[in-house]
Amino acid sequence: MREYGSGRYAVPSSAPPKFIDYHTLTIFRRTDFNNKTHALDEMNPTAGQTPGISITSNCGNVRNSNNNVWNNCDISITDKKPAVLEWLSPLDSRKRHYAIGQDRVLGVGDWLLDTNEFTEWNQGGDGIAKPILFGYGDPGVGKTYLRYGCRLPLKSAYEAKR
Amino acid sequence: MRLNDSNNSSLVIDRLFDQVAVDADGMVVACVYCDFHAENEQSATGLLGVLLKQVISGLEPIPEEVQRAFENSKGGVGGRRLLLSDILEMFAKSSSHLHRVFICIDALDEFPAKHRPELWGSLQQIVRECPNIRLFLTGRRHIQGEVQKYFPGTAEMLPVSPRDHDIGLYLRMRMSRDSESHAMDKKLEADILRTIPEMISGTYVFS
Repeated sequence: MREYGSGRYAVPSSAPPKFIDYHTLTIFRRTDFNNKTHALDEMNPTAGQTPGISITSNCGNVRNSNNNVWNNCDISITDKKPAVLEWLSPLDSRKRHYAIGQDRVLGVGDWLLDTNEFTEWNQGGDGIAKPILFGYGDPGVGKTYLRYGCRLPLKSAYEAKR
Repeated sequence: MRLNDSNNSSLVIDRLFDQVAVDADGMVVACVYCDFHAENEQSATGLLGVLLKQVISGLEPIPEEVQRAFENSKGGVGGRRLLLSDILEMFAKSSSHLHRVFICIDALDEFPAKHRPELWGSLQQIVRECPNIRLFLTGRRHIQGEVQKYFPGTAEMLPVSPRDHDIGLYLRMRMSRDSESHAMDKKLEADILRTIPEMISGTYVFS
């Protein structure tokens, strides 16, 4: 975990420093699954790129050299998501996904998206009669590419419906 | 380049793990590509684990039930292995937080036959427990019987074969990448676009 940036804000100095008068908010930039770090605005949570946040409150018993009073209690909000995802499955094929994306020919398989079978499967409500769509064919007819091609139109079809 | 099964496999070995698209209203797409040569997802537990991972990576925050299961699993020495029943339970709970969950499993014929009954059973349970689930499956013809057996009346069968339009698009792409473009002229191009689709019956074989 590497520190990305931090900020501090204070209540007005005239306020009696009885309880909390400083919070130190630290946002950590963390490595993703590929041990890369990312700027906060470039983070993609689905790729395990999420910031950690640590809040230190000035509210207690210990005085530092600036005569601020700090408690000994750091509140750390750490994100367990990458660890949970890794626990569910160690597999990650991001690179291969890009490989097939580059190999697919634009437009091939579009006919499938226009079939009634696909439309019903894609846009039917909960509990439709046939929630399963099985595309079958001989080896090499391009089933894999067709399925890949479905990915984005699924979403746009869904959004268009809304 | 041969656009056939072995080519597909080499290109897309476990390619869509972690592939997720989520919109604000809770739609997730999770995909997995079965491959003879891969080992880890060749069991129902492995395959569904990959899919569950994708569903959950689209959820923020992680469902409480999943967090709890994760914490509990760390209790034992080295952590307890995930069981299929754990995964199915988390699947149902995670899906209930979503509006629609699209699951795509590609090339089921490449999933080991001896483990397929367990996979079919798991998918049956998922479909039964999650009304917001859609399954898109692909496979060779001989898998069709299994699909009909395990999902009588609930699976739509869609034959897939390349349309002339697809073949034309593919040929044009290949010709555009031709390193010896000077050898090509309009007539040759037209001949290729006319002849090859005629020769193809159901299978791409472009060497």
